[in-house]
Amino acid sequence: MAAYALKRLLQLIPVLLIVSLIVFFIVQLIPGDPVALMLGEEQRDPEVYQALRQELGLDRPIHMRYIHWLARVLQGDLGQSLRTRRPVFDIVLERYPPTVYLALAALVLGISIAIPAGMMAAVKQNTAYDYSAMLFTLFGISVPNFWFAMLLILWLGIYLGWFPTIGYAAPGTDFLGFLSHLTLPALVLGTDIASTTTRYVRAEMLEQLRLDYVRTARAKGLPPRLVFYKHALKNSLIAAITVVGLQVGRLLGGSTVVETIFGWPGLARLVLDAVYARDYPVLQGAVLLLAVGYVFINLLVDLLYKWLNPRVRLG
Amino acid sequence: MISSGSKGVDMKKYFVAVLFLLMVFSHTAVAQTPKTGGRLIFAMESDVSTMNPFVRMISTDQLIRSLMYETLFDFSLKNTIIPALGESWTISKDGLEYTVKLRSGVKFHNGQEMTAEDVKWSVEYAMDPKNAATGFSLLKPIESITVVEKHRIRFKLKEPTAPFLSTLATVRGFIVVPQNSVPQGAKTVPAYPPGTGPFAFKAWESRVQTVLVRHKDYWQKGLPYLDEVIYKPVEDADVRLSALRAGDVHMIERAPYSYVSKIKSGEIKGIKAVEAKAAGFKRLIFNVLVPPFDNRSLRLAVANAIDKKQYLQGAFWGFGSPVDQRYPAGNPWFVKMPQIKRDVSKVKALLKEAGVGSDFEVELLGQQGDEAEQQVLQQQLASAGIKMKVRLMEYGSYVQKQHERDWQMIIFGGRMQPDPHLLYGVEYICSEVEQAKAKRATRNLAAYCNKEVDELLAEAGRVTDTKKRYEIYAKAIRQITEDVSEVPLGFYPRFYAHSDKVKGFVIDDVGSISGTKFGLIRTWMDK
Repeated sequence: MAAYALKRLLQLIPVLLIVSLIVFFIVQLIPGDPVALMLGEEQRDPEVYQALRQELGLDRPIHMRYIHWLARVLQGDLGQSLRTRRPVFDIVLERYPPTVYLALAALVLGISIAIPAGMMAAVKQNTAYDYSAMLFTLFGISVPNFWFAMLLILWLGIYLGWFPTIGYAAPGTDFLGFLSHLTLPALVLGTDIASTTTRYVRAEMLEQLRLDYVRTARAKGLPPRLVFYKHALKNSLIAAITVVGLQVGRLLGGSTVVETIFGWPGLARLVLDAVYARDYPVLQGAVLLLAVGYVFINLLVDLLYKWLNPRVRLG
Repeated sequence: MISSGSKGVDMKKYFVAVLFLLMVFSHTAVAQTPKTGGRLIFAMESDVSTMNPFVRMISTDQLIRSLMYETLFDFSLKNTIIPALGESWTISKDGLEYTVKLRSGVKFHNGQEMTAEDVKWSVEYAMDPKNAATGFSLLKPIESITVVEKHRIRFKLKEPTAPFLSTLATVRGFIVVPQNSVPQGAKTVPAYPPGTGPFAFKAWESRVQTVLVRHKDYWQKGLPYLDEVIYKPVEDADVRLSALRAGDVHMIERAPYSYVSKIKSGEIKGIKAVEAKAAGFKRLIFNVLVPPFDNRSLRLAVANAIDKKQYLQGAFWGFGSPVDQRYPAGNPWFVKMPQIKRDVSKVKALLKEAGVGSDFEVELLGQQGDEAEQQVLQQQLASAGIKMKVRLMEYGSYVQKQHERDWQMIIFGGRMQPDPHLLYGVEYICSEVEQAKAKRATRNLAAYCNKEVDELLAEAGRVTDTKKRYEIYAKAIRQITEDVSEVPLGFYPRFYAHSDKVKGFVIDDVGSISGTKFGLIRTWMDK
């Protein structure tokens, strides 16, 4: 398994190179001039404009800029933000923890709802329990995140006053504050994940329950708990893990709406802001580091497959 | 008897009423005595983008900085120039030398005393194009700066410049920081350098908050009242309002228009709205360099198709007032003149005159977020017989297209400058047209040029007598309106909303939240 992990890590190099190439050139293809955006609408003195362009190195040809950027990235330097002039690495790194906390919280919440709910829905198929679980998933899938978020803000934030509606507190400085700020965004994302995953767990569990080995296990008199939990559940989780693995990628870079609504200082919002400001280095750096995160999660998912089903051949 | 009796009753009633009013007022007076201390959490639309106070990025930067930094003079709520870091000024007879006596004993946030050397360094920093400072254009008239003594400084100008005093009164020109506290070359800084303003920078967490604390040695003793001001970036206006209602923040900017009347009527309890009457301005600009709008008749046809009141109704919930020029009625620089009103028969006649038929189609380059405005104009033009296509773009791409002059019409804003020279003398002059033709950045977006107007504006920039200047501007403005290079649509307000625990928050018409005499400097929390 270690050799496999190492091989996968080595594969990261060409993947990231391709990502860097695509990101760099696609980003530059977006129409828009970072200097014009930086200077705003009102002060457009040509002297200032040229000075700033030169200062930011935007007057050089694009391929030179890519080579220069790549050479620096290889030395661990992602460059500086055009807008704030802070090192991109620092900017992205400070957004990683809030993103990961929110993703983890949503994931834990989502999985802890989805697995029991999906499993029970399958075991008690076509009962009131099954129907209510499916109603929940229908709600989670069809209700847009922003609407659910506003609903929670109105209910739990404004009327009941239980949770803050916006902001972030670092867990190291104010853990209770961190948890209370985390609750609402995690509920929104967690519900989203739970509803999709529940359906997968249910479908897969139903599939497993119809297979011969379950019938055999039951026939030889194994208690139902053992049949469900030990045999059927473990096998049905493979499909769920695939879904969850994909969801994590979405959680890391795609929670823009939720981050915007709750004022959560995450990576998705950073990427969006960088697009709007045409802050090329931040955009490139953030996408590159997100790709690293995504590749690692995929690796983790593959290793989990192996653990869940030793028959899966890695490599 | 009866009448005297009734008089007696009236007198009694009168005394009771007076007594009651006195009690109410005395109670109000007691309740309104400012309290020192407290923390105000303020939700703004965007985050800080740079901590270099000379480089302007977005309006949020400007708002936050206005609490930390000051310049030589300031504007009162009535738009008159009042002393700030400069106590008084003298202007030489030829209008070329401005000598400013600086206030002594002013301390920077780091405890260092402010001297004329710091002022000189700050102005020269902003004057260097390498530093990409906001004030670069405004400071162009300066030839040299001399430190006369520790607290006296002299500005020598290249030519008499009427609005120069206004330049010394706006933080957009320059702000005063200690010498060498900002690196040269448009560099970023890890923290805001010390300023002289009522609040000092304490901490910034990206996308989380910016914390400012009271400047203990502030030159206006007893001010500010607040101990801390915390800015939190919250993009969405509805989310900002929810956060205010939930008590997570005490004040928000740009309260959603849809809720303002509910706040004002008290339907949403515990919240007050404060109006910046002329915070925003909109105009429809024509690209006069290319067809179809190189033809004045067609520009006038579009102008006659627009109902400005209905535009404000549709796009700004009925807030705002229609306007035909860059200053609103009531402003000292407002010029009375006949308005171009919606007149469909005139539109038809003008289209005929220009030789275009019923298939006449125009295109508006629109930016995302302004869809409501675009739709209203589209409907108005359509009902007057002009088809309008909207090319909708995200802001960055929109700016690029605008830059490349790949457009016929755009809806644009415009800042109301304290002095008309900074507005008309920059945005309606022929020399800027060359920039436009070369597809370089320009502030004369229409690429409007009228030699007569050019001469008038140049003359108005040199004359120092206000009455005479007004007359020259009036003539120029009437001509600009006649030429229809743009259609001014209206001034619209922006609303700040705050919890009723927040007291003393007064702002000017354009929405500045901090002057030396008003705004957050005099705001306090009623705990």
